[in-house]
Amino acid sequence: MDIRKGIGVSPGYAIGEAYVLSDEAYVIPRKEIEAKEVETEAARFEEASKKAIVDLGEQLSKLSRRVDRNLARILQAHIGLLGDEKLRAEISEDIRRNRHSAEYSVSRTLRRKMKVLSDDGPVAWVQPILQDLAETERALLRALLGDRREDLAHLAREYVVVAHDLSPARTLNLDRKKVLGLVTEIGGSTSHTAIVASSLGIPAAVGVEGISRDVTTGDKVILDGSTGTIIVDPDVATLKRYQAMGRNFSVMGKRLSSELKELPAVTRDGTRVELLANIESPDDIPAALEIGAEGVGLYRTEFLFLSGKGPPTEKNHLDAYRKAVNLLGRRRLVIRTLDLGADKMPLDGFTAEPNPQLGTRAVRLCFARPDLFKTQLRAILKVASLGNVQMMIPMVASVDELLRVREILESVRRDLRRENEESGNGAQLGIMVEVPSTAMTLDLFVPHADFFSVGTNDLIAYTLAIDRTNERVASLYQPSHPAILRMLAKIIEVGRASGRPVSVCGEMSADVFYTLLLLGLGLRTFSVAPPTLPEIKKIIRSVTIADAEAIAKEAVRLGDAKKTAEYLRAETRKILPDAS
Amino acid sequence: MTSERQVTILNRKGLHVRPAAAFAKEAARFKSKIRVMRDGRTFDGKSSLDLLMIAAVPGTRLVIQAEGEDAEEAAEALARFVDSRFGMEEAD
Repeated sequence: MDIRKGIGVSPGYAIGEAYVLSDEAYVIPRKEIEAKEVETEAARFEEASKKAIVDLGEQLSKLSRRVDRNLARILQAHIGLLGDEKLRAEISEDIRRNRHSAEYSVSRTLRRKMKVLSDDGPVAWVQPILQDLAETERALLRALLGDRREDLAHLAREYVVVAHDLSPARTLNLDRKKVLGLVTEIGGSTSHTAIVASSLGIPAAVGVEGISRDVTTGDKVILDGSTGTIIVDPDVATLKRYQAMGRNFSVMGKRLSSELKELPAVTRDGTRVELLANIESPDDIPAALEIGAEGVGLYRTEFLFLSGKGPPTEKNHLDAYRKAVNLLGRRRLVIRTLDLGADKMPLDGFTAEPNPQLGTRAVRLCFARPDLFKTQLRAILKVASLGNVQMMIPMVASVDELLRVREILESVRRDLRRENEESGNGAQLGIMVEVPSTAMTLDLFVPHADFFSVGTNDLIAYTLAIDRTNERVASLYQPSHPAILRMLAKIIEVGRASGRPVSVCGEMSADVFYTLLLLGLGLRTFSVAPPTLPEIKKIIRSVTIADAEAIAKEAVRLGDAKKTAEYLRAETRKILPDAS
Repeated sequence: MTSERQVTILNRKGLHVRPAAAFAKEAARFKSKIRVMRDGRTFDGKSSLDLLMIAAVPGTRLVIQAEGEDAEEAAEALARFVDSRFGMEEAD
């Protein structure tokens, strides 16, 4: 049994077998084999290890001896490792004795060695050796599996997925029914993995050092997504304890949501608060409504751009939006337009940018590629009359950009009218407030925007100059920073004074420790990952506006990120003692 | 017959994959069984994988033990081999 600690980013318990995505992403399809298959499997391994030597030999022969002398020596050394009698004997024995598939035995044997080294050896010295062993594993798996790449969309059964990092595209392509939990080495509480996992209600932990190296596919693991704890190879007592906690958790979650589902989100003094859901796909809508969401405050459309071979067609957009509208009826649907950087999708003519977060992303990419933008706007306008559809533009940094969006929108409307299509005249246009320049000058946007939605993740990252995916600085990402509190107060005040609705759709809105603060600052619309909705509702129903205002005032007065965070935690626990 | 030599790793990068492979190859020339010992742990001197698992940094002291008909010759040759930095230039 081995206990690891990361950052819990999506609550819940996952108990099952690990599925490790290596960087080269091979399928390690199965663990146990039948007794009669053992000899075939051992022979497969022998063949593969010969093939791996031949393959590396071919690579070696292609190298120019003079230019790549060091590389050639390393390849020779790897060939030596592949031919190592002791390694071959250990793997064969694992296949025979434990009836493991060749792939699993290869992976397990080498990873155990890596684990021993990384536990005992001095890090700096051991690192190159770990790389050599990892290369040996890859060479053997390549020979065993050929080009059969793993495909997360078609997992054979349920797994806890473990990876060094998960790209947004890979995360979105997960087969949601088969993924019990997600564990990654990279990332903080606002990484993409965290956002996707919590919106899907999948337990997840990020920032777990070395986990993808130390765990092998097929290993039994327990994941506690609240505390970020991962237990590898648990003993029976631990397993039983967590199984019981898992049952309790789902019972409690269900009880909380079924108790609260029919009740409105109203404070004790009768102030109505709107609770909306953040979704990734129309498929998320039934569960969101089931848990009590009144509509969709943020439909992230990135999935459409990431799941196909090229940019989505108008029909792709239309199919998705129609489905969403059909499920929602007259409930609100806020569709956020393309919010990707050029780095996240393959586009002709775009070269890599040194700093994509500050580069051609979101609305900037829409200006650079008006074809993509217009196609999306056409589809939104066409479905607008079928329901209560609003469009929301991300990353707007100046009024000028918003005016340009309006011009493009008008030209799309003209085209649609010319074609005798629905042109979505009543559809509202709002903006994400996530760039500090926009937050500071929000009054200037009032004449041109119908509503505002605060994207706290980016707003915090840009204001505090923190790359949320960089573990070294991730702890400096503080929603309770005085600058953020002042900005939020200002944004909400501009909205109140001008009659423009303001919502918060960033992670801060779904964090129960900030519910009292936001409510007290005057926020009346929360858009959150559906699983957190019952807890938010419970807090809202437990206080008066006067209570919340007093708490917000004190939180702002403290003027210190840590003190404010501690104060808000303490106040929240008075209402939800188990909040974590 | 058994012979032993004590050696110290001199290579700047320690006993990494290339010296390990070179040592195993050198050891394979002898009929004797070759063991490499460190702090009471024993490793197979003819297995480059096992040698890697020593994770020996520069300055690590090891005992080379040869057992077999050419033990003395093997222990002596392998000790010299380690002293010569595994016959490697220290280019990398």
